[in-house]
Amino acid sequence: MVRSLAAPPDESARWVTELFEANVGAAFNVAYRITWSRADALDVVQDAFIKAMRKADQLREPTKARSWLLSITYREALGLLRSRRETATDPSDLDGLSGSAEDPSDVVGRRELAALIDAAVMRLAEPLRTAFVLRDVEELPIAEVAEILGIGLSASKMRVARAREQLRVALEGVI
Amino acid sequence: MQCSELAAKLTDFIDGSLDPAEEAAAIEHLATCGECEAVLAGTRSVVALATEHAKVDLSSDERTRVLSKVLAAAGQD
Repeated sequence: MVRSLAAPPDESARWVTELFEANVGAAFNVAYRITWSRADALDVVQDAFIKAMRKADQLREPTKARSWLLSITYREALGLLRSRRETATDPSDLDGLSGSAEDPSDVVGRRELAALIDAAVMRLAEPLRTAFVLRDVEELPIAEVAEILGIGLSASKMRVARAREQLRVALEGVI
Repeated sequence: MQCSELAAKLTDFIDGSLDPAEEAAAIEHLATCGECEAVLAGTRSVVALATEHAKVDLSSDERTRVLSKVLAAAGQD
């Protein structure tokens, strides 16, 4: 467990541990949906937290720690993609989906549905995909989505709207 | 409200961020337009499915491994 780690007894380690525990799930989701690779997403998350720790003095409003961290994660993930000039094409790495203590047929149904959604989300262009993940998967307020992406409120709304519409059309007949 | 206006405001409508007058006009239009009602239902389903099924999480081992590397970097600073 995270809390059992022997953290260095200094303030920055305590701060980054709290930041990690509160936001690692969202950061991983953003990184994974951009890189489509579990290993790359883990690297991105790790680098983002290290960078956040080193730039902690730039965080002027502690209440905005989540959007600040996710913004760093977003840029790190895009940077990784740019450096490789390619994206993974197989979103079959679905082991993050849990199905314990459920009826096996429900588990199969949920996995199939998740795979369909995954494939449809993967087909979205990255700007739409990231906006959609932040707004509808992580359920962040649209103003925070705009902050993370470094764009205006109306541009954020537009990206979310286009993503929702493309997914609705793609999943027609399934939903 | 016309179909095109509703389409432009659909995200705000779903997110509950329209002003009361616009929201009332949207509801009025939806009551008489089956096509927009179907688009709204489909879009709401997409949002609900994404929230429920599209989250990919780290395993406990992955969390522990990443945090220990981050903390190791903190110790080096």
